[in-house]
Amino acid sequence: MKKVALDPLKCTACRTCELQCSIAHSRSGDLYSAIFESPPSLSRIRVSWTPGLNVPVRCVHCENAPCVAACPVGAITQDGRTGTVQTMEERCIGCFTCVLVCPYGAVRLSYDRKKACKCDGCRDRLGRGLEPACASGCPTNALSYADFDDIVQAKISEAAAREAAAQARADRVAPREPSSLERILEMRKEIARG
Amino acid sequence: MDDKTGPTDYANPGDRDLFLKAARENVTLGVDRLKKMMPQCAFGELGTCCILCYMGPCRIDPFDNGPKLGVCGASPDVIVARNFLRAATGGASSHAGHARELALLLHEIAEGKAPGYAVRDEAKLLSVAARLGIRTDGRTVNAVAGDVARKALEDFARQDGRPMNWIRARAPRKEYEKWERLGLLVSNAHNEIETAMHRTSMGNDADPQNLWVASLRMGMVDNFSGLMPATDLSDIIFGTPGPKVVSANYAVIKEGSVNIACHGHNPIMASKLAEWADKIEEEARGAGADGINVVGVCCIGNELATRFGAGYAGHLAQAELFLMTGAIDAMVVDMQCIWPGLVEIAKCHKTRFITTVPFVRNPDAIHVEFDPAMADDRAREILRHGIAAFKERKAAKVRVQIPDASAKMLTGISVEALVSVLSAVNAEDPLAPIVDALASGDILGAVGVVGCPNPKLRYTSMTERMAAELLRNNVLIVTTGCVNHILAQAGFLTGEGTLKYAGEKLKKVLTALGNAAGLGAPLPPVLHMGSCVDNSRIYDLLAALAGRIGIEISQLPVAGSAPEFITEKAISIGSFFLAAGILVHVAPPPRVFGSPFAIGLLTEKLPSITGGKVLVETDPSRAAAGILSHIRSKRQAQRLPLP
Repeated sequence: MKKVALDPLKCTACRTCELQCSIAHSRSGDLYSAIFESPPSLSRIRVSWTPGLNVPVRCVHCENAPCVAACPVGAITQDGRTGTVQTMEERCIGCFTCVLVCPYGAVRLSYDRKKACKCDGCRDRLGRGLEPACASGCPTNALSYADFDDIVQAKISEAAAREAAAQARADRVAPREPSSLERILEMRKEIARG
Repeated sequence: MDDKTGPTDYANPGDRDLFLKAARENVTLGVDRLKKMMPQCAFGELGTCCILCYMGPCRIDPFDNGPKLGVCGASPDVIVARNFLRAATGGASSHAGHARELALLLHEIAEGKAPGYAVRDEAKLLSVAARLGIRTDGRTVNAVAGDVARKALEDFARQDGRPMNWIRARAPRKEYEKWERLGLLVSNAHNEIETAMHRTSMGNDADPQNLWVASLRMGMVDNFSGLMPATDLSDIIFGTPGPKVVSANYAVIKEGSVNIACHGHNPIMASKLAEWADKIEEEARGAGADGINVVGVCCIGNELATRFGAGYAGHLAQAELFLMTGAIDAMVVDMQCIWPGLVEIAKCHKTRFITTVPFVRNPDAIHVEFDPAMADDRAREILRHGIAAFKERKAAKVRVQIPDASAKMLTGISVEALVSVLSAVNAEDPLAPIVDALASGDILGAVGVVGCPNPKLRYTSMTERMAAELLRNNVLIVTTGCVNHILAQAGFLTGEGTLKYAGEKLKKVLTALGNAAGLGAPLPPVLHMGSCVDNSRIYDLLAALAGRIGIEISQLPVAGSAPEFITEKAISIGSFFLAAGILVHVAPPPRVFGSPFAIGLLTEKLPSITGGKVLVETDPSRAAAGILSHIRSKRQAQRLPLP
């Protein structure tokens, strides 16, 4: 399953994601035309920060989304095909319950303050074979369009490597007789080394 | 840059071959880096990123997502105007530096301290001296040359506020009065540059209008202490160009020769290489080469071709590809437009990369500092590097691939040369045939197509398609700078180019003029006037035409276009042409769109102030349409027929 993944340690707060989001959601889709459009095309991603970290805040398209559950008029739904959470502007009554329940602060008010405005996962771009604008625009890969199954796999491998390194360090401090399983694993390492 | 655009009919097959060779050999080029750079920062593109002080960086978002003012309170109008002025200052500094080197050289020549150089064009010296009010009768050439050099250097030193010598000598009366009224008569290039840097630093000028006037003044610096003296002094020292046919494109490289590619701008060094290539040819033969082949890349290509008839290799973005041929033995550079990434490609091919200017260096290059007083020694030393590299190339069997892409072009169309060609038609009034054709509409108008080829727009053949569209509508084109390499390679600078591209009426005029001048073929529809500093020649031509008709330059049915500009120099040249009252078309978009004030000024207010106007258009047909509509409205205002 592909989604926009965040690595805030890589974020320089350049705000390219914000501008690319605004351009992607403008009527013209072109910077030099979009800046003249009214109302302005608001960005659905916002770069926030703490003294130690820059954090692009965006909708993470929860699988069990509080906004979907809380919306009193059913204006927010889960799109099963793309795995995104979508708002239906025509149904939105502007109660902003979604703003209150979102744990990420990812829903903002529209320019005229009458509707909820949030990330649509760049559904249109995905349909055209493009990545979400924020991820494809990010110059440092702080935001990337990634397969979360792959991320899980990578994390599992990292965890294994970390455990192995910890064990090796412990063995250096307090050497012990290897168990028969460890002997087999040692041989496996030798085979892997060729 | 739009990847969906396939190669156009104009694409140079040599470029394609060498792009493929680079991909096979895993060499990264500018176009690859550009792709990785996309999308580029929109704050930068809009001009609303300010890094002038350390309360910033500040950037103003046009979509209402963030603060509307910088930390200091600067509005986007102020931020854009300051950034633009700094860019114009960078450009004007480049041209002023170019001209000042020539003024210093002419001074050394006059003092007998530059034995490798001499005044080669006495007629030009006398005409420039006369305009500067220097007495010439009964005086030696060197005495007059010394005075001319000192007059040029005065424009970098004057503290009395009086207008520059070059403005007083070279500006047409009507324009001089207009600039005096508008406060655009600058006095001293260095003062102007200093003031511009000062006023744009933190906590100074916060009046967008005042800042934009400073940009127009910087344009004046660019022309009157950069372009014009550079052209005038180069003509005096190296000779005013005359018409000649030269070879262009990749085929100017010869496998069996020691190939020396000069890259950069100022003819001071490259002219010496061209001269010494013949003198030490025997040494090259001794190394097993056929000879020494000096060719020019970038604007030095324009200088070497128009002045000496040397091979007209390619534009700045092709410098990498010329190195990719594997057949360049030395790339010798002076200043401006020398991409740092070139050195890495040179290393892969045993090419010696030689820098010659103290402030243009690269840690991986060989540095041979070029001192005009030692010009002959240095030229020999540099060429011997090339000969040694040739031997290494042959011994290492470097893979060589020279694309079979060749073109011819007519070049050397200085104003003097044009007048002399036209004198064959009408000796009393040489400009009459052009003026008559403009009046009747056989020539609808003229456009100066100048500047760089930008990799962002190369994919769409922006320049070729726009030029073809203008010519089809009977608009004559004059060119300077790197962009001319593109048009030469695509065959626009030949008599056949006229038959292929020019509209019926323009074809008739150019055929008649070509025959009258004894060329036995039509004049090309694109007239090459030289390097980027030779934009001064375009201005001289406009001044001569306007003077002959008795109108202001801003009233002529003409325009300027930098259809693929890259450098700050284009910003300062463009600023000058705006001050001169010309429509300036540019692509890609200049970094002004974050400022409503700038947009209003450049498109609506300026036309009634100086007559200048900016047209931003990245599509070739729409760019041509915009320029044509401007030319038609200028014709209408002069009550000229609109065919």
